[in-house]
Order: sequence, then C-alpha cells, then structure tokens
Amino acid sequence: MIQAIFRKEFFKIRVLTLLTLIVHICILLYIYVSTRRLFILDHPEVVWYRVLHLGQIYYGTLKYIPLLSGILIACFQFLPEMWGERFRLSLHLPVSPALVALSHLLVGMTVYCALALIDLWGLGLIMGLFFPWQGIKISLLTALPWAMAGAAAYLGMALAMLEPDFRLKAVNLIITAGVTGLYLQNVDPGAYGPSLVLLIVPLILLMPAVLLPVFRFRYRRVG
Amino acid sequence: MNRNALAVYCILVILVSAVYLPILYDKIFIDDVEKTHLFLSPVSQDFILMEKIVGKVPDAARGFAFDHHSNLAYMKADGTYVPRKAFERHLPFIYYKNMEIIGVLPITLNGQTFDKKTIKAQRRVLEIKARDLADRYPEVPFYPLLESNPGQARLVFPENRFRMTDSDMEFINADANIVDTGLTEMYTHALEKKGFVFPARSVNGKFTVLKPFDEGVFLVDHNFHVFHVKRVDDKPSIAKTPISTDLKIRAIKVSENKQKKYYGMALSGDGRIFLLGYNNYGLTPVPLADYDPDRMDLKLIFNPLYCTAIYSDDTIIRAVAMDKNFVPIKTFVHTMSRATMTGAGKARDLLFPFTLKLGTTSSCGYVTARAVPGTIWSLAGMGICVLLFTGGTKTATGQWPGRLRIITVAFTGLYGLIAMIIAGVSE
Repeated sequence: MIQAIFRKEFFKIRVLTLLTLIVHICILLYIYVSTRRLFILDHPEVVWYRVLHLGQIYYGTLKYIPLLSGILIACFQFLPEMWGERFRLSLHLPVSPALVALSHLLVGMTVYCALALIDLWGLGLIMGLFFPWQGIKISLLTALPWAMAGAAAYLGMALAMLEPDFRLKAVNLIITAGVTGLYLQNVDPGAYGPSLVLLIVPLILLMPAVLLPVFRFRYRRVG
Repeated sequence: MNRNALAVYCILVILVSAVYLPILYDKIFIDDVEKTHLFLSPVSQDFILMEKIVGKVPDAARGFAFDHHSNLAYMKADGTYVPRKAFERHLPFIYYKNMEIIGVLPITLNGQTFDKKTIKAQRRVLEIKARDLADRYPEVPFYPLLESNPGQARLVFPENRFRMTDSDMEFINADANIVDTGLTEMYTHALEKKGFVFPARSVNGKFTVLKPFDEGVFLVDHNFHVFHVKRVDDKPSIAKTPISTDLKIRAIKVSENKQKKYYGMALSGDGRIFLLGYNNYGLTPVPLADYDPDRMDLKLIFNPLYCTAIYSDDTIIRAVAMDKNFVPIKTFVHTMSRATMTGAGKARDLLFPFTLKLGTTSSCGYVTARAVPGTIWSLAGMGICVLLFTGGTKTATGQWPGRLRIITVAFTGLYGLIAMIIAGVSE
C-alpha cells in the first residue's frame, strides 16, 4: 500500500522534479560562469580577498532557489490532492492516516533533499575549483541554511495546503513564513555555523505538525 | 484528533510567536538608538557627550536644538546641555577642520599651540570590538602576508595566502589554487628556527592594502609566545617578541600608523589591554576598570594632549582620560539614554513573558539562538493572559479549559494564548 503511494507521488511530481533539476543545474552553471568571470576580471588573490575576507556572497542567486523548489514541490504534490478533496480517498485506505501523510511527505522531502544536495555539492565543487577548502567550507555553511529554508517551505506549504479551514490555512502560511525566515537572515557568510544543529528543531516540529490538518481533514464533519 | 500533533503544532505557534511578535512590536514602538558618543574635551578638561535622548526630551536640551533634531542632545559631564557648535568647540582636535573654517586654529591649550598639521599628525584611534575577537565572528582563517618592502608607494596583495595548520604555515598560490611548498617550507622552517611551537593560537594583523605601510602579522604560538612575522623582499623576517607567556595574549589589534609608536593593542587572557610598542615590543598597560572584552567595545582616542579610553556595553559607557604616560587623570561612567525604560518598553514586558532571539548581537557576529526572559511586569502579563483565556473559554464554550492548557498559557503568556485560540479553532 505504502509502495503504491510512493509510486503515485513520484509519478505526480516527476515532471516537476525534472524541470526543477534542470533549473538547479542551470543556476549552478550560472554560478560557475560567474565565478570564472570573477577570476578573469580580477587577480585571483583579489577575488580571494573579496570573497574570503570581505565576505562577498557572489553566489547569492542560490539563496531563494531552494525555497522556490520547496514551495513548488509542495504545490504539485498537494494542490491536486485538495482539488475535489481527492486526498480523502488516500486517507480512507486501510492504513493509518498518519502513515499515509508521512509517506507523501517522505516522497516530497526525498526529492527536495536530493535537489538541495545537488545544490550544495555543485556549489562545493565550483568553490573547490577556484578556492582552497576554507572557501568550500564557508560557502557550504552559508548555503546550508538556505537549503533548510527550502525544507521548511516544503513542510510549511504542506501544512497550509492540507488544512481544510481557510482561517487556519492563513495561520499556517504565517507560521511557514516565520519558520522559513529563520534561515534567510542577511548575515555574514558562515554566520549560521553554530546554530545549524539547533535550527533542525523547527523542521522536526513541522513534520508531525502536518499531521494535524491531515487528521482534521480525515475526521471532520462534512455538511 | 491527534493530541500529539496538536501539541507539536501549538509548540510551533508559540516558538514562531516568541520570535516574531517582539520583533514586530519593536519595529512599531521601540526606537533603535545607537550608542552615546563620549569624549574628553581638552578645552574644559572634562567629558562631553552626544546622545539621542530616549523618552521625554528635557526643555534645556530642546532649547539648544537649533540645527538638529530636538532629541539629539549635546551634554557636558555635569549634565548641562550645550548647542552643537559649542560641543564642537570643546573638541578642537576632533572637529579641527570646522575649527579651521571658523578661524579658531591654531589653538592654544595647556600653554601649547596646535595647528592643523600638528593635530592631524598626532591624532589616532585604536578600536577593539567584542564582535571582532576571534571565535566571535565567522572569519575565514586564511590570510595574506603582504610585502613590507613593496618598492612602491602602494601596497599590493601577494599571489598567495597562508593558513596555519597543525604543523605548518601553509601558503596557497591563488593562481593555481595549490599549496606553495617552497614558501610553506621556508616560513615554517624559519618559524621553527625561532622557537615557534605549532599549532598557532591566533593570527593577528590588519589584512588590507588600504594602509600607509605594512607591519606584517603577529602570531601567537601554542605556548603563548608572540612572534612578529613579516615578508621583506620576499623572505621571512621573524622576531620572537619578549612578551610574557603569562599574559596568554588572546588578540592583537594591529593598526599601522605613521607615528610608529605602537603596533596596536594587545588583549591578554585575563582581559587586560596593553599598547604594543615599537620599542622592543614593550607593553604599556591601559588602566581600564570593569572592562569586559567579550561584552564591550573599546576605543582609544589619542590627541596631542591626552589619550582617552572609551568602552561600553549595551547600556553603560565608561571613559578614562590619561596623560601622555597613561596615568589616569579623570574617569566617567554614564548610563546611556538608550537604556531608559519607556512606556513602550514596560508594555513590551507586560505583553511578552520572554523573547526568543535568533540572530547576531552587538558582541557576536554569529547567528545565535537565545531566550531573553521578561521582567516582573511579564508576570502580570502572564496572569492577565490566564484570566483572559479561562474567562474567554468559559464564556464561549460554557466550560473551563483543561489544566494543561491553562498551565501552557500561564508559562508562555500571550504566545500560549494565541496558540490556544488557534487550537480552539482547530478543534
């Protein structure tokens, strides 16, 4: 049963996944071209100074891409479920509603995490070509909260979209914006370093919180 | 209804509220006020300050606000307000350009006459901020070692940068992005020959080309010996300084200056500040009472007559005026106006039982998460929230709320109340 849900969810978002993957790769290529151009236009030691010492984030294009991907994956996964309340069918399968919902989330999170890992790996690779390992480390510490913002956006959008009540939908959107904003502050590169472990907590809380609208959807009184 | 899911959801609502509601409130009601500017006036030989007044502006201050906002006050140490122009006249060594325009220069003070050239040559500011200390901001430990004898007027960055590993002073070539083994061996060997013990504790220097000349870097080795490392004609020039290891030097704020009297300031492990002199790296202690380098920003302002140390945390600013031999001649402590508790501040405490803060602070460049408790006023706010919650629930539903819910509101005040209202809608 769960395997069938996995398959259904994968089929539902496979085109989007492919398109998002292409966009992510294009963005990484753009960052590579920008990096290369930095080194063509200026002496490498000056670029190192600007990026590693002055904290210039020239790969800032990557900041909101995970966020958009997270939102898109959630929309493609859950909007069709909510149209005509198709999700009710899944929730009436002979499996617990929590398991059904978590299976949906697992598929979305797996796809999102794969994209985020590609981003981080690509950024690390690009930095590694032009900068010493200190450069790789600081760029990954800078981009990791952005990736976490995408995960928060995915889970938060799922929370908002699965909610049947419009007032609570609005509340959930505010919660999503709030949690996502925690990861997107304008700070120096690598400034999030010591807080990254703690910042996993809101993501962990979002996961079971999504079950609340699912239960409400499943057990609400209709009519 | 899944109670666990509801509980987690409520926790999430409380967390988000505790982070953002205080931010929103502060943006609307609380004025963000910068720190007071405090100086020693060589004219009156007393302290004089400029600050933005929080709360009600005294009539005396308002009366002098001819050419600026009325809440910006210029005040002497005895509490009397002065107009802006009088304030500048009290500080001729700082506003020397304005003094020249109004024809006050050359000025005679303490029997000595100072013209613009003399003032300019003898002014200097050294600064060490809490958030600039190592491990308090996300620094990339990868530094340039400039050529100290560039053979030209302008300093340039070398093609390589160095990092201190557990066993080497390792240079990386920027053109190829690979380790420069020749330079690495040369500097590592030269350091070891002078008695340097790896790994290094800190690398201290002013890593910019926007300075008059280069004095290299000061490395503190594993045993707290301080080494002065320069690149002269592309060769290492290393001196082991006589600075005592007992001081456990924590940081050296280097600032090259044409006066060539002091390399900069040194901070010892126990929080004392020294001036690091050119004369055989002699240390001159700067007598600062109640200085905490982890919380306070320190500024040393040198002028032709005095040196003034000004240091402050978020609420209190202190100053020590010293003569040429760094003997204190006057001290001053002032609670900054920004610390004033206003009506909006009290209402804030009433509304919010605590605040969750995620971000950088004035003393730390890292994003840190911290819970800031409220004051005694917060208890009243929490009580009001409980009353509103219990009364409101009874009125709306005809039943008293559950004990756990009341406890949640009692401990989390407004945040809990919001969470419980949302939970009520959710049910």
